[in-house]
Amino acid sequence: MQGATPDGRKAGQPVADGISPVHTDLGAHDIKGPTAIVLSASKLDHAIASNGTLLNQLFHPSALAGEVGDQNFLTLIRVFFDRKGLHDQFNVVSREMLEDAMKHPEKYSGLVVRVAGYSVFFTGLDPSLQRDIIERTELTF
Amino acid sequence: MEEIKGIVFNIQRFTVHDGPGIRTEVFLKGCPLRCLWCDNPESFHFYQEVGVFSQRCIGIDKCGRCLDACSISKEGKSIFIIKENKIAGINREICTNCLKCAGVCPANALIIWGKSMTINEVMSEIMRDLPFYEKSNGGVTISGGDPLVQWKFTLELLKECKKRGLHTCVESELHTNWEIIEKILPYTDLFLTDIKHMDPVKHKEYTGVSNWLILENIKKLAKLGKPIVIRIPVIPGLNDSIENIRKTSEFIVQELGATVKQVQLLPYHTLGHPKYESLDLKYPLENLNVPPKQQFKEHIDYLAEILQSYGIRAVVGAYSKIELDEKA
Repeated sequence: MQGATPDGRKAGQPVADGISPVHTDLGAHDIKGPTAIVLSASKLDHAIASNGTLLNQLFHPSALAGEVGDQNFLTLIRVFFDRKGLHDQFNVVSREMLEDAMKHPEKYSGLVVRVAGYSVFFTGLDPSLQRDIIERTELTF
Repeated sequence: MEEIKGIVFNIQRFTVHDGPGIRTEVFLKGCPLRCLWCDNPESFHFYQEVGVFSQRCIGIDKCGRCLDACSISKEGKSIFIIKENKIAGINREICTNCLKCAGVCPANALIIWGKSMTINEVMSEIMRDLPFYEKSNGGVTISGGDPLVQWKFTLELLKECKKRGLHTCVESELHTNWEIIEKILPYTDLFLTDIKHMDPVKHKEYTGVSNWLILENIKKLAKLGKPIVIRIPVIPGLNDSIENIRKTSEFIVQELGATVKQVQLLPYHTLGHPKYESLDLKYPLENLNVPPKQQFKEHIDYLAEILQSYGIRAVVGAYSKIELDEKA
């Protein structure tokens, strides 16, 4: 049972979700986006983990939308496995998750909404703007 | 010779909506326009500024380091706006932008918009994602604000990108001397620019400048065969009339032709609102009459159809592949 750590993690909380960036109540470590996560996680030698490794990545649909979204998504996966990554799983946020993010921002601090010419951390926004994005999410889909 | 520096307010990796493929976007401070709907108000001025995020302040009773650091406060003048014991704003008329308060804030309630960076520092960040550019036909986009305000830095950055074989995209309002655009032309593969309104009087009312110089520059780019993506930020009640879209279509067909690879209609949004507050600025379109989402979506779809009826490759949003290989 690991005690509290100086990065803001409380005692008993999981250290991380597999090899995914750490999330604590004070903030997340995935502040540079999915390409940085892929590059960082693929620096490890996954072959020495006898039971495998797990990388979990969370996206807002805006980051993967449209025909360009498919291609970019594939590129992320290709680069990860070219660099000898072992396992990568993806979650795209649902409306329910975004509503949960409004109540528990510490669980979603790395979540970025992407629109042309601008980007923003979802949890940094005013609740009224968050509501607005939740509604827009359904339309982009 | 002193090394050139730029004031950068964001370097965004995994940019997917400002040019083809996966890109890194470098946002430079400074813009000659003041569009009423702008979502990057931290880009207006080319110099560094303090941003106030009141909700993060831990209280001046517990902390108060900003008050001690501020050179104006030391003279006994009241410069900070305080609400419920927290820093809620700054009187920008007497602030000297010394940035000392942001330097001492432990809670990131006071931050500095803009960081002074050398070309090497920016390139170092850009080059990290090389594997992704190669696989997705992506590259670098230089934006802002307007990157031609700091055109010398933009030029050097583009040259460096080209030395390393990267695809380059410049997102600019093109409200500047043609001579400056000519300088960056050889190092720019694709231009992203806006046509915000065809009526010069309305354009000035909504952006602070007339559209004459912008349209002249876009025409010159098109004559040289430079690939362009045109964006129309669709602002309800301001530029979304059928008449304006028809005039825009006619301009594109008659003056620009096939060098326009895509026209993107970008729906109005207010994601930048918190940034206005952080700069003690009032959001200009506070009382804008925004139609219900479904209705607005249908209207924008209709505007796209109008553009398409002129043979223009128009799309809503920036989610469609930009076909660059076709010859102009």
